[in-house]
Amino acid sequence: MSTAIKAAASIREGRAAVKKNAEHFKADNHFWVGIEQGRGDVHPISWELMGADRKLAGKLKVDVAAVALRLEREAMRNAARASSYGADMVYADLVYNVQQEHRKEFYTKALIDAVNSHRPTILPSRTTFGCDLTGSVTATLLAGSTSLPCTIYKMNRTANGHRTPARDGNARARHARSWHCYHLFRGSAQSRPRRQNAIVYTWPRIR
Amino acid sequence: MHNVVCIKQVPDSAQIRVHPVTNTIMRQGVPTIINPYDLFALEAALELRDKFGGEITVLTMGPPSAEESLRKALTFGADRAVLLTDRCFAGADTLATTYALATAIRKIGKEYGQPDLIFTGKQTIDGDTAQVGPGIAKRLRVLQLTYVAKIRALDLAARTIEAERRSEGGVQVLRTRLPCLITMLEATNQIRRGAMADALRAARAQIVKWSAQHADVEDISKCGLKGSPTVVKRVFAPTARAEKAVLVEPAEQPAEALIDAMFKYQPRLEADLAALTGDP
Ligand SMILES: Cc1cc2nc3c(=O)[nH]c(=O)nc-3n(C[C@H](O)[C@H](O)[C@H](O)COP(=O)(O)OP(=O)(O)OC[C@H]3O[C@@H](n4cnc5c(N)ncnc54)[C@H](O)[C@@H]3O)c2cc1C
Repeated sequence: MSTAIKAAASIREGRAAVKKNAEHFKADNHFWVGIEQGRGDVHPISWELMGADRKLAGKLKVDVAAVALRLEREAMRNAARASSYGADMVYADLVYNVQQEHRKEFYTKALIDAVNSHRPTILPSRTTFGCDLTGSVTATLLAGSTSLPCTIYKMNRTANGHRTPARDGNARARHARSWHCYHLFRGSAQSRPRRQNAIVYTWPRIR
Repeated sequence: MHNVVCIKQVPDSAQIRVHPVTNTIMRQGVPTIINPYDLFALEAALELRDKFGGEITVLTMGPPSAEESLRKALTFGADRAVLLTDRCFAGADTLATTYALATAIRKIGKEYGQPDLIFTGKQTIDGDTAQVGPGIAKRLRVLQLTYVAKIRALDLAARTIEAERRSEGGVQVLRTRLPCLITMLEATNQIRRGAMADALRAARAQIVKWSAQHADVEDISKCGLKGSPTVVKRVFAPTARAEKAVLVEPAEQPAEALIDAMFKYQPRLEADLAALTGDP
């Protein structure tokens, strides 16, 4: 097989894998970690979250997807690093020249669309942006949130299959009965990068 | 102009103790205060009133005893205090809280004039979620300026406001339309000493008390524990997190001794670092 044909076949396989993976993520409450970024780089808290989620997801036998919204071109490469920190899938939305971080409406809508179509459990970071977004998204979706700065957190599956998160934060509160909840997390364990091929799925353009 | 300031009565965290046996937080006998973050919001509103005139309504949702915090807010100079109190509001999580507060703000708008600005603190010292401000804004469909450090300009004719917002990346200067919701950052101003006249007025003032019905709450099932997808199951004192401490003997080359000690206790770290740097 010539190199060109091989390359074309591998691209086709890659696309098929991405599609399959995207379908798989629609199936159940997988974990989504928001990849926060600014000025072309990823906020380190995102990798902390990824580490903790990876462990938790392993226990609950679900997968972890990284969600990177409002990707500037140069941040794309950084977001792809999510897979080396443990994401099984990276959802990326390329939006050029969107500088206005404060345009929360845009992100709120994007996340709401995502939740409605994929029903994930989302874990944004406890940064100024993460807090704002979570407040808006939960108020729109009527979702619960466990939202102290967390350091440890656990999740149990209830008899009816809903997840009930519990986590220990600064004030050490335990929560139950949250439904599609959002967790803000100040992670304590950063995952080690592991070598893995990035699977990047470009989120459908948000109007 | 009419500004609404949301305040929450919280236990004074400086005086909270932990039960030595059960390890739970002892709230009995702990004095309550206005959430300290909310005082920055109140002062910001007072400063705007000094410049532009108008009225300030303070609003809280809480038990009947929260009246005390409202009176305190009146001593600082607020014009009116509204207490949202009803058994059905008890046990609210952030979602139920934002529902009740947003409904009350709508009613305040009807009764006392539509607010131009709604202020909240950045977060509280007990719940600490920082979700209530953005949640109210979303429910009222007003714009939100969060983590505001300074209000730079307000143009009532053009109905615009310009503010400095502090975030991890630096300071942003934002301009938006009125009405909007502002969550005020800490240490951005200092709450004034109330005037004697205000203290006297506060002592005699009639606090407006609204039950769910008075506040025009349409759906009680969205309030309090019933309307809360999240419940706090237990609050307890943190356990010590110190894991393992190893004392490294003083050495001539302290850095190397430290690195050797690290590798000794975390053998995988050496291999990982080697893999990352490409060293054999
Ligand atoms: C230890 C502990 C942990 C908790 N954890 C969670 C949790 O993870 N998720 C959850 O949904 N709920 C949680 N709660 C419940 C939460 O405290 C209530 O929902 C509360 O009504 C609002 O949340 P907050 O105190 O975190 O407010 P924040 O969102 O931190 O407050 C921001 C601002 O909103 C305004 N505000 C807040 N409450 C009121 C009020 N009652 N009246 C007027 N203005 C107000 C104030 O201006 C305040 O500065 C917790 C409570 C405790 C005691």
